[in-house]
Amino acid sequence: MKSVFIILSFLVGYCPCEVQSKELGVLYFNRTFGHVHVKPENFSSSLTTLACAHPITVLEAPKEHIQNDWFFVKVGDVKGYIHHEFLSERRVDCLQDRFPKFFNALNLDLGELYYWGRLFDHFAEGESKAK
Amino acid sequence: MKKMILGLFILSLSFLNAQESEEKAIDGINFSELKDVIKSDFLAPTVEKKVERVQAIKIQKKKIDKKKYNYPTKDYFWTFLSEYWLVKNAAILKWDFQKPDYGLKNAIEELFEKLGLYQVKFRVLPINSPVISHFSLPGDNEENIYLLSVPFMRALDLSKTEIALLVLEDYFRLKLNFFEKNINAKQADSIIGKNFYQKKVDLKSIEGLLKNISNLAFEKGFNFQQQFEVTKKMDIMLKSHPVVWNKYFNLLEKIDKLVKTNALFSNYNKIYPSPEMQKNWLSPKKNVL
Repeated sequence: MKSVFIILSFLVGYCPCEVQSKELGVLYFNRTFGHVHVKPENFSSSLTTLACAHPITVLEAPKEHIQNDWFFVKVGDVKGYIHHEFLSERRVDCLQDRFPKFFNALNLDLGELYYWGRLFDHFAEGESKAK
Repeated sequence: MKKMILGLFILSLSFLNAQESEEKAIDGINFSELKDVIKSDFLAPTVEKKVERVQAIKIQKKKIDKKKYNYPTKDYFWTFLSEYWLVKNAAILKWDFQKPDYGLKNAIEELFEKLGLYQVKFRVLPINSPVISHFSLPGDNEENIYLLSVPFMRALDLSKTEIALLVLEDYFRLKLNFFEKNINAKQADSIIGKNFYQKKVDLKSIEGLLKNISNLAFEKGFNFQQQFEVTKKMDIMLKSHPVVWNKYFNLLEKIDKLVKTNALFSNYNKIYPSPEMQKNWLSPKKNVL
């Protein structure tokens, strides 16, 4: 009996099960293409590429990775990070949806999809304003 | 056994007879008379309405289907084309690299606001290649894209204000429609906002425009007249800010020295002719006594 208890406690201690993060809601991707990042940083590797208006489940971020500008998200089986500026509460008017046949005719390959998504990670956007 | 077979045979015969009589009955119906009955029942208008509704739905469906074959409208076209060009030339331009935040956003906003240029949207994209020193691409709603070469900025040891001045120059190039003129943007008119329903999509025009942009950015550049107009525009704009004007003049001097001594940027004079001339255009005319 004692040995069974020892084995069980060992198994529980080293359980590979993932800790379930709490789902906070669904937001929509608002750029032409984009990426789910491994880390909450613009230049971190991509886990998957997203297209405009893709619904994204926002999760509670792990404590060690809580960052104001980044959301911890789940897309399909993938969990990673997306900058808050790339997510909207409503579906946005996407180029792909407005001109679907034209966009399909471009026949973008995987490399082009990757780069198009990356483009938005590299832009520094601004606007001059009257003060 | 024989009796059973006989019974089944009689049953099948009677079934066939019943079917035949039913068909005969249908043949015997006078449909024109039935039409009169429907008319007298006031069902004809309902049928007509239904037919009209189906027709309207069909037309609407066709319209929606046709709309799917639209080329991008002017509100979307230039941002699409600029981004597509950047994607197609990612390997040459090398913009996908890790870099620190250069603080360019604030510097550009500050300069534009100082000069009274408000509501100017911009997107800055640093590139890790000397093939282009600085360049601007048009965007919709005047949200233009500005490319800045990091090797170029490093070679000149540019300050943030100097970089913002280069962006301002490029802003005027777009404002004065030099980009559109030089890439022969008129060929885009044949597709912008048009429809290709039941036709082949015209990708040749898109490819032609992409080629023209590459030609402008890497080879052809802007002509002397265009450079003169840009320089004069900068002069007028900066005149009331002598400190910034001086910075601009010094910047041209720096660029002039660099392009004459560094082979890596010798192409600069081809694209933006020429910093030396620009300096002359800005310098006050000397009176010979």
